[in-house]
Amino acid sequence: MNRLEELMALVMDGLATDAELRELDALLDADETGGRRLVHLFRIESALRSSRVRFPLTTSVPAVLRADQGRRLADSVLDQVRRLPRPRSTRTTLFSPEWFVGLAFWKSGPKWLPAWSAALALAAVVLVSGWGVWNSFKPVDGSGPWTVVQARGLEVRRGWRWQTVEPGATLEGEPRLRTGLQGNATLRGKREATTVALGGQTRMRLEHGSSGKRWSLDQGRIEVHAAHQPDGRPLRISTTHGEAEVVGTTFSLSARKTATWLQVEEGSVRLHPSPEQQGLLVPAGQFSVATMGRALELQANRPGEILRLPVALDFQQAFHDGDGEWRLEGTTLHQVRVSHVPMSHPVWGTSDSPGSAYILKTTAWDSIELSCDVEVERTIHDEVPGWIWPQTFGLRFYFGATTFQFNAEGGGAGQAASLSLGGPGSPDSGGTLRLTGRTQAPLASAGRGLHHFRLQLWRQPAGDCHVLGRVWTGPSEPEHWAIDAQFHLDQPLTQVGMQTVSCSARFHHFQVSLID
Amino acid sequence: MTLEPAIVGAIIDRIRGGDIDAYAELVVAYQSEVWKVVAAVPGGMSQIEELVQRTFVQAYQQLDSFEVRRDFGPWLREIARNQARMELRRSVRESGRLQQYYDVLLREFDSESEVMTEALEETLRSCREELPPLLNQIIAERYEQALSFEDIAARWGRSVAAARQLLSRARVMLRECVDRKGGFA
Repeated sequence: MNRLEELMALVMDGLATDAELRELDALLDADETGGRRLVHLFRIESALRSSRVRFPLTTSVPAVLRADQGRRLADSVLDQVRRLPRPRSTRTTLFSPEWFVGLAFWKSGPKWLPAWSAALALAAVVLVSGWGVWNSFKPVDGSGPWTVVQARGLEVRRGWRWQTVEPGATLEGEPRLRTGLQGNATLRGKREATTVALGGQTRMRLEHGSSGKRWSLDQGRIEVHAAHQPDGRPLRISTTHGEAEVVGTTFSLSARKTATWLQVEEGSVRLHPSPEQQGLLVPAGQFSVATMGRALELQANRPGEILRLPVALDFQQAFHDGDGEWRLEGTTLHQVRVSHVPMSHPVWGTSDSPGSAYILKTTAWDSIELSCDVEVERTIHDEVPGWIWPQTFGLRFYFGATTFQFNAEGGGAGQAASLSLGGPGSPDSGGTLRLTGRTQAPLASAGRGLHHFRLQLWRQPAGDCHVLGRVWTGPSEPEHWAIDAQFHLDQPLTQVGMQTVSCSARFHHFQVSLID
Repeated sequence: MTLEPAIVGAIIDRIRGGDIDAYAELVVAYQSEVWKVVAAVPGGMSQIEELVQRTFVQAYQQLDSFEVRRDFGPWLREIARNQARMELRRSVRESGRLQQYYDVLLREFDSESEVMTEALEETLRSCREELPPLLNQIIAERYEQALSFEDIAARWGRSVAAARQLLSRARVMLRECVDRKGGFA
């Protein structure tokens, strides 16, 4: 394929840089049939794209609208509030006129003094407010160094206000930026071919110093393609856990409360845990994590795990057949009504019962916490001495080929519990992580047992994968997507003369949340 | 898939009553129509997805002005065309490149010719049958299944660059075939 076709392909895929566009323009000028071929390629591309059968918009558009409506509601309320008289305090406060002139003068001084001091205070308020309003309403467009190529939910700090930034705007000076949960943005330098892509819930500041660019990433995730920086003036990006020193490369940096991830695609970046430490040079294809109490080390990126923007969070209800009720609030899924799974078996054996399950499906997250309280109530009408009633409760996750760090805990009320981690992968996933609590309760002991499980996962490295979680109780993990309450004895109950056992499993609390 | 005006009217009544989630039903029904309009804008797939989303958000904001007796599809497509025009103009303004070629696309937006589009799609279908199976499959994965280059590369055990090159070669072969069969006329 010749260079002209190569450049056309880059345009079709939306990957052409400014320099490549310039080169393409020049080649087209010199090639008689080039322009016609490009237009035909546009039309082929358009027709091919029209054949798309899979769309991601069903959940995302209403989510955007809800957020938009929330903003409009807030704006509407503020508009109305602004028209109302300001509430006044009748008590003496720090800002009351008495304190400006002294209480004694207020009471005994000349009569013009309170009016004069009030005028002075008013002038000060007007000056401060004027500064704030000027900064709040100063237009974002200007001749600054950053162009906003793409933005959703991007805001820039102006005075004391956060102001929404639209695609195409130019950011001047040293902007302080943030994105919302579903937000993302891409900025391109006007003076150099550096681009920075912000993921959701990211806060950062783009500053300049005499010795080069000084950015700070307070939280969230960025992907940077850095143009080659002048000698001795590297780009430095600081987070809570360290500083990345960049000469010219492509990488992603993710700052969380507990750790900072640096993953390098091209070139190399030096990661310093602290300014006085030497730091670690992270080459292309490697990543490293800066966190408290852990030495920096290099690890290989896995193919296809480079973080892609925009991030998307998608909770899907896959099966819901019980009497529980679930509600998604922000990034947390709550069970707002208890799911009650009654069991009553005059004849014994392994049995399933209807239940409810919620499957969490997310394609972009760094860490996740899942906790579950299960209460099992047993009523035994005839005593069966000496029998052991084994039960397991558990959580299981399927995930793609991704490495996890995890912290798991589980237990029962006064009963032994054990955890097992690992297990075979399913055909369409990279593996499983199982957390199982197992109790060995004497069958004769009627009563209640409360079992609590909590599982935290941190993805390593941050990347794109999926996870499905489910919860079950019973002697073994069921094959279908449901919370099951299964109770099993090794021998039929008729041999021990039991008449009826009633059981119920109450899922008091089941919460899945993304943790920062 | 499009909906009867009465059904659209009922959905819009629910939305006007505060049920935003009802809008998802319109998004599901009309997203492929909107996609077909804005797909002509050069750029990455994510950019096109963003345009489709922006179209639906814009339509939602103008829903007050929509008369329920009208056909929702053409009204929505006009909003999509406006979004596509704005995007093309913004792209030309920002890069200052390829202006004359983008102008051709703009003119095509202004004179929507469904007959011409259908003729091209028909020729394209027959040309796809002439492609080597690997290239045809990659076309399907990229455009019908909306897979990323990374996913395609992983499926075929190739590098991302190789996957992009295969796709590019397939497009060039299709262009030559359609041209040969007079599909661009």
